[in-house]
Amino acid sequence: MGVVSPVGCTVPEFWSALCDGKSGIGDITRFDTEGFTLTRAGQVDDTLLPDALRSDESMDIATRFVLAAAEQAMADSGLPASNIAVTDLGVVLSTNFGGAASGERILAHCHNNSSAAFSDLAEYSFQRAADHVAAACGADGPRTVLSLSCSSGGGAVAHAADLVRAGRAGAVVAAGYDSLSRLAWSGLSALRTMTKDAVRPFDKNRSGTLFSEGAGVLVVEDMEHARARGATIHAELAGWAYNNNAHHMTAPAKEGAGSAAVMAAALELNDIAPDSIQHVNMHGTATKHNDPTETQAVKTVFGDHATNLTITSIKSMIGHMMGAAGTVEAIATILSIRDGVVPPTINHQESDPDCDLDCVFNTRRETSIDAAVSNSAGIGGCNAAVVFRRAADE
Amino acid sequence: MSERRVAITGAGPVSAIGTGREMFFAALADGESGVAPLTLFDVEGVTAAEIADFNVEDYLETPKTYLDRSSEFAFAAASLAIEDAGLDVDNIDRPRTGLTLGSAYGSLGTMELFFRDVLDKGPKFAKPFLFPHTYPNTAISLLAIEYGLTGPHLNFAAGHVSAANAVIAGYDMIRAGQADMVLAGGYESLSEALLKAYTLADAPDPGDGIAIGEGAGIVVLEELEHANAREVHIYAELAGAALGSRAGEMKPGQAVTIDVRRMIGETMGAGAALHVIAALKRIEDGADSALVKSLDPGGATAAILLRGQSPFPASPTP
Repeated sequence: MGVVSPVGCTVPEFWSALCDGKSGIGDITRFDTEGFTLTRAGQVDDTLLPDALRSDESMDIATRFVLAAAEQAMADSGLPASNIAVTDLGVVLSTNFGGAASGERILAHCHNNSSAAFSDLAEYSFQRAADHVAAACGADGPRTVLSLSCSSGGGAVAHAADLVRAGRAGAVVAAGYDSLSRLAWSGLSALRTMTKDAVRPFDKNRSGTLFSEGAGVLVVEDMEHARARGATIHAELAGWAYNNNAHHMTAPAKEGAGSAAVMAAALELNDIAPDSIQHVNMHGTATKHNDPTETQAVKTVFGDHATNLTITSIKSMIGHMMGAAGTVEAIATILSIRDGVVPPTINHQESDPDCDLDCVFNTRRETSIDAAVSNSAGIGGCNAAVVFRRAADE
Repeated sequence: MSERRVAITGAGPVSAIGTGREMFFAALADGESGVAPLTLFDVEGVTAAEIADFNVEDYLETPKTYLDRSSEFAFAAASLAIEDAGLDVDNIDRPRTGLTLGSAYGSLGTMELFFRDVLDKGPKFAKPFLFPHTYPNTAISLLAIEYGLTGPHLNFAAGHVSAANAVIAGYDMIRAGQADMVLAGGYESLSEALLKAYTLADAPDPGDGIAIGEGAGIVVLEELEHANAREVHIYAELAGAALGSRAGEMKPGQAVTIDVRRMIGETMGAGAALHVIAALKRIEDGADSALVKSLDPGGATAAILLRGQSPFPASPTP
């Protein structure tokens, strides 16, 4: 696993910051914020990137985020040093905006003939980042990029699992990434889903989310292969699914029908009993509509067992990492299983009767977890869910 | 469990040489080229395979206030494929019907339109209604809403292998039992931003000597027994697929693609889907099989094997 986030650029730093309830929200310096009302976001501290990447301005900053996280994940997987090589190492990226800063130069050139190069289009092109990651990881297998708005990261993990199960790849570097940009911020501000206040998921006083940037990468590997080479197995990816609400571009489906269906499908894939799940890492954007509909979706899927689940939204601390959100939340879910700790949903003030699941507010909770779900949703009605279990001994 | 096989039962091509299966097949037979000087975009010195005569309203179930040009092509391709496969969308098992599409540049044209206001007037004047039309998943999600498709949903933004990835994902979904039918394909539109980028000094040839093009292709993939039960015409069996990234091993233009690319242009994210549909014509003309290869300039590769065999035997039961 590898992480580049507003609260740290290694997995241990990221995880300890989350468990300590640290906020990564601050003033934006990534782009010129003149003319914007909202100027706070979860920004990555570039000085924490490896020197070679930090200084390499031939690549878009978003690409450098995913490369830094992919390098960590590959080192963590032990694959480069393993005597048992993986056949057809794949790369599945996910992003909402790709190399947006490079894309802006192409758009501006089109409109007012400002300076741009074709290499800006290439750097904007989503597949280019996958080419960079494949080169860095020595991946010679399937190579693709998904874009499923804010469910992208969950979709990437799920599709990586598809490719391993279908025998198309022995292992897959599954990555989500995005960077803050003037282009994306213009649109996200216009949508009016962001708050001037703190991000308060499942709180009566919640008033929206704040977007952020970074990358999360997981190496998804065939279980038998991982065991054969004696790898450290962080968790079993036991179920996955992706679907669409087929309801509305920006409004959630009634009673969270699409979210409920995707979580149910992820559990059903390998016949996982809903009551074997102890924890749900929620999409939890802190928008008015997401949190109660997602609460309802969990109740639909888990029935009476829903009250036994601990839930949390790490977006309260790191903001909404867009194309990376699903992958960093998957990593947090795995670490909750590994360490028996659920990171807090910070900024909580007042309970909301419409968001009445057992949310771990303000301070972390220690609780044994064998299996957990990470849930994601996005613009266009896209949903994705992944289920992790503690890996059984052989 | 018997192995699940995948049939192609419908095709919706949108291209510079013809829209709809019949027109497209006829144009392929004539060998006519759709490459010509640009008429719709104000960019000098570019020839392209442009779709000059196209009216999206012919293909919509419900009126739309706005669609990106790439979404328009996706809507047309979906409508044509559904009609060609004889599907009654109101009576399909929607959670068991998947939708997998791909596009290299998606709604770049609308993104440029949206960003114009930011550049000229500042971010407060950005149009909120346009922004959801700039997402890479705009077209696929609008299609899911249009047809109520709540099943598996994957959108690829994987350069020139986007459509191949989408078709192969649909194939795998049906074989794995995640879906019984999948609408799969790709779409790509020309836009001023894209064309101007290709006139920049350091721009490569977009298609290895072949003009840039636009279009969309969607095929209906269907589990073989499901198709047989519907008593629908089967164009071909999707009999195999491969994904890789061995740059240099496959050159664009092998297999069925070269002549077709000369006619429809390098349609990037839509390419493989249109080539799959062109391969259906080959099979209809008597070929036993056809191989569609797809290559992204960055090295990702994909191959799709179609087999013509009629009538299709039912899957053996264990």
